[in-house]
Amino acid sequence: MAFLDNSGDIILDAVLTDLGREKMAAGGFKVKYFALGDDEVDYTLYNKNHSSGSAYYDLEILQTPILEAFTQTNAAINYGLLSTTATELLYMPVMATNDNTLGGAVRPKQAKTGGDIYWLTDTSNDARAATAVSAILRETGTAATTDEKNGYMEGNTNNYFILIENGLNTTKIKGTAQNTTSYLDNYGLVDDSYYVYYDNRLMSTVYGSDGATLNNSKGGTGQVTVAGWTAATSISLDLGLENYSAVRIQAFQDKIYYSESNTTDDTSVSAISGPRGNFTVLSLFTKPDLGDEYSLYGNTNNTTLFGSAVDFIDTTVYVQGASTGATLQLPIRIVRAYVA
Amino acid sequence: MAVTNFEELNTSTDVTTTKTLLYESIPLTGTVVSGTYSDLNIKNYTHGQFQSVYDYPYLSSSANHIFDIALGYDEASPLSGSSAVQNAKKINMYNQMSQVLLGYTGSANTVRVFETDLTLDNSGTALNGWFINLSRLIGKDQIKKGTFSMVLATASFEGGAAGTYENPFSQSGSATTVTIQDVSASDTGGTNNTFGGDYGVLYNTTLASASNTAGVYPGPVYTPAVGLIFYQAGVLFLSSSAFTGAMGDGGLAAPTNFNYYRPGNYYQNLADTFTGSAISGACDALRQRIKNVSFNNTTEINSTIYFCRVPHNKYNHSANPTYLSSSQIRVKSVATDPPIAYITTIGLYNSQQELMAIAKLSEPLRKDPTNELTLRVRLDY
Repeated sequence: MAFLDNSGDIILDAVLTDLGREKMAAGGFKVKYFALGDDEVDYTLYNKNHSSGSAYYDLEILQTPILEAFTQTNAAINYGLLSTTATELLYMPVMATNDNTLGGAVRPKQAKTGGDIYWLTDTSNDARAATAVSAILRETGTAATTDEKNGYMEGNTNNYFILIENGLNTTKIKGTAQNTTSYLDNYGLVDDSYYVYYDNRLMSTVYGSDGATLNNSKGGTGQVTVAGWTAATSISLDLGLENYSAVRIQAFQDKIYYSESNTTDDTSVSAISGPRGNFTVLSLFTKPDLGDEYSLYGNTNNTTLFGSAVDFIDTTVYVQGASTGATLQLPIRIVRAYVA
Repeated sequence: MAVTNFEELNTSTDVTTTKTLLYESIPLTGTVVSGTYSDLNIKNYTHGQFQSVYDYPYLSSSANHIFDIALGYDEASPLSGSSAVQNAKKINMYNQMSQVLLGYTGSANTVRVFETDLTLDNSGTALNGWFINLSRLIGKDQIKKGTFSMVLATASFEGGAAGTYENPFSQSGSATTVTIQDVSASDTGGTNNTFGGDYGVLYNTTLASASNTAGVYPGPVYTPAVGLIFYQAGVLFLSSSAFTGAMGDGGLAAPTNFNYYRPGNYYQNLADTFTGSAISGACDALRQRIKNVSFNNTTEINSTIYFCRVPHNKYNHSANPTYLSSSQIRVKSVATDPPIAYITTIGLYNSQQELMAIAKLSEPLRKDPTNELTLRVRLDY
């Protein structure tokens, strides 16, 4: 007679996080929820073609070495397991930035000089600089590209923005309205809003829209319209990263659809190849008084990017679907004209 | 990224608290205490009230403080007198330890004196002695009752060159060591309780003699009481009678050469050691006679256990970026395949969904709709 499998009951020792210790010191320590994480797991190691059979599919995953617990909250659970109860799901939504200009206001990320980043201007030195930062970005310097010349966002206006779509990024399912209902709406896989996390040392706020549309037409390109901008609502969600603030921005129905009668493919105007859920637009504002932050966290007097010298700081903005938990990281380069 | 999927804990069914006692065996090798490091591990202070013993030269960052030794006597002791070296400090030390460990008595709030028994009736008083205060590093929350043992050398210093350390453990003649133990104490009895917490009596078990029936320790074997041990405070009071083989403080006769008095390079008997040496010198005399010390310490671990119940139909999917390939779940080929996720971490959150504690599994734990897990997460305080 074999022993019963008792692996369903596991004892784990927990360590307090920095915040947990702080709360305990202040007398406010009380645990109410738990969440599960799998940050160390690389699901690409799941080998559905293992020659020894299905018992070996996850062999490499199960051998993944697990790191000790970190006490800093940011390094604990970054993604997490999802509580969705649908077992028949084969596809889950992802987020992607739409890098089509769609009329000129959408700013695509630049895949050339400086890497895969979005440029965000800081005009604070323009009055004292020989050349304004927006003009520098249009220079045909040694490294500036056509994309960069037109691809920047202004850090103090809503003139240009980032467009983010959510949906099933697969060519196996057509992006029809019916498939959106079947594959996304029916499973609650559409985000009504997004959380945006930004470095509050570098950015003052994030703007979202309170009324935007995104659609395509039978023969034309996609169109995005933003009826109005509003400063995003601050929320208490904790990314766990120091100096990061969280805000919520609204999402809107993505109406780019596949149709056999389309003369322009829906996939050529959208970042999502299959059924689309919602989309959002995002505008970032730099702090007006960054000053020494460039020397502390970035680079100053850089002459290799453009013909004129610039200061710049690289940072990351994180976007997360409020319902799906899908995530997206936006690499941002804040740039200003250099003044000696 | 912030976690967006939480499971609420039911405070009445998913949370419990426990208390666990953890015991560690602590062997202190006497040579470390008495001379291995040429006393570089002994720290004396300008105030001269006690000396600290480390397990390594104390100037090293690797050194751990293991205990302090002090010496004192009651002002009513025959040893007390204005001619005694550091007389006031020795009286103060005795009184301080007494008032903290025993408290006061009578309408005049007289400080109690130590008695080498479990009564508080001024019988078996011990007016002279050493105090060994174990550091919390080794004593932890308390010493386990009935586990304490100390071997002391009782022979005279003889034949050594002036100014050198002479081994008092290996001289010819009668027995040169005695073993001091709290043999009567246990978790269920054999102790009393005062301000200083539970205390037991230290007996000289080497001098046990079947023919002697006058002992205070229950049983046929007489074992002279030579001190007290305060378990929670981690303090030993070692009466001078430990070296006389007699009860009380009247003796103070043997060994003849109890201490080698360094500044003057001459021998002192036990009484002279108390009166003619500074506290540090008298502590040296005791320290160099410690052969071994052993006891079990106790750590009280209060734990809260959170039963994190993971239902079969939830947490089978992941927001891990590698979970999808072109939006398709990697672990599935067709929709009817069961979803699988792997748990490596459990986060505990407060009502504001701020991360309070983290627990890690030793290896990824497979979660699919066919299994339901209860992860017991223990948080120790």
